[in-house]
Amino acid sequence: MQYEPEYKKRKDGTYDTSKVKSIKVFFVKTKDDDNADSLLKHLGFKSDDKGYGDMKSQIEGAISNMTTSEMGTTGILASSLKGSVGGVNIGGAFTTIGNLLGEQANYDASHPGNYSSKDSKGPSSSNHDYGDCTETTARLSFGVPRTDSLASLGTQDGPTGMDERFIGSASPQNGNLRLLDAIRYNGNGNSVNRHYMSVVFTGDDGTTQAFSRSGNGGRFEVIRADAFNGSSYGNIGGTSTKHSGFYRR
Amino acid sequence: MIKSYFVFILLFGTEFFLANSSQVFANELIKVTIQSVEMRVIKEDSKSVQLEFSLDLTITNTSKSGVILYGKEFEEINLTFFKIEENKTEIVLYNLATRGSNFVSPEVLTLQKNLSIAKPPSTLTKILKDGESYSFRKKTGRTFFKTQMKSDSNVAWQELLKLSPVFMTITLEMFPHYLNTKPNANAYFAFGKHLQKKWKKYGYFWFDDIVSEPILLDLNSAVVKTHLKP
Repeated sequence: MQYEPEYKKRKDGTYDTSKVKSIKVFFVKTKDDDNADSLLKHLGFKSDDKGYGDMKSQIEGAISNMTTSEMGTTGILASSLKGSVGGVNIGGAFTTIGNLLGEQANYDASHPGNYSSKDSKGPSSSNHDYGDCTETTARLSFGVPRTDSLASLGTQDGPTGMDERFIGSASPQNGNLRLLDAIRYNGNGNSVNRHYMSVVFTGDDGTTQAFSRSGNGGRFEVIRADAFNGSSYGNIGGTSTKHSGFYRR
Repeated sequence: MIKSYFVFILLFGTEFFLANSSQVFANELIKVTIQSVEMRVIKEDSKSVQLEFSLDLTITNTSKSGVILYGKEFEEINLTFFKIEENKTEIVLYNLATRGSNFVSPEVLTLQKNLSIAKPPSTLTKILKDGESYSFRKKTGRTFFKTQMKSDSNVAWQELLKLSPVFMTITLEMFPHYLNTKPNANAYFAFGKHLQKKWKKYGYFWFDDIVSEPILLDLNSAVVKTHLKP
């Protein structure tokens, strides 16, 4: 995957590079034999998933339209993919992720030094539909529309908490993850410290990348799924010892 | 093959580097210093290494008046490694924040009620007098990766080892984020500010996050030694 900023266009047609409209996510070929099947595999889909054939044709069409120049080969704009595979809207997922990463880029631009600061934050969570990791994961992984308020959602136990409201029992194993599967960090047994993310992509080496917001008012970021293991978020772990810590809607 | 974990403690004086650094690390009223770091390799495989850091921390009141702190344990919400170039520029090598998310519970309202009294309750708060310190131990950890992804701003573990010794800071959450909101309003610092005004005559209530002063750390000291079975 490759990330490129889309800047805000001025009235005169030029671009204002201080204002990011969104971060565009591209799928790029890293090996000669990369194809539609291998991309869908990286996204975690199987050939018998509903919509697989249509999506494969769409990706093959996009690959045939790729051009190569001295700058390299163009990629497939992830948000441009239409339709769903196995009930997952690939283009929609990357549109949301790209928009939120764009908000983060704008926040960093208006707060110089934030990106690498020792106290890095994200856009204000007040009046934000993606205020923290629970809201972000509930909307992305569990399809809660922005019109539905998630004001009382949090990491707490009980009926208003993320575990009871959304985390079910469909718990795929690591190595069998697909786009938008939810990841749960167990908070070392302390519900205050739980963390949730959404799977984005698994690379050739088996490394899974995931998207979330790190805390209330924290950063929107794509990061390795297991990067927080050992931190105050605890380790990836399920609501039951029988669960892997990864969940599917 | 048996893997045994090698534990090491190290410290370097930071005064020289701080004197030459362009960044001011101390806060106006209090400062957090890392007295010692104990590193332990929890897990290592071909892709990553998980480290545990046991930190001896001291919070010192550097102001002329009392400083009120909530609780005795403070959550670590950011861990940073950086180096300082010859031209005094700071280059961040690794930075990963672990801020807490929403936590909506009746316990929060009860705690807010118990705190919202005229005098800071001694069961929930601690007042540091002018020059007084409070020391405690904090355990935290991170997983470091042996290769760097294109989109990853954090350098790979092997690179951190090469650049080591490097400076480390941690950020402490001095007042839990879930208490620091106005009930049902999700407004930052509303409750902390409320307490700050209420407790003014007893001292300054510190509710903001605080970045520790840096410590120079040799990450090469955290290694896994492998021994053959006897």
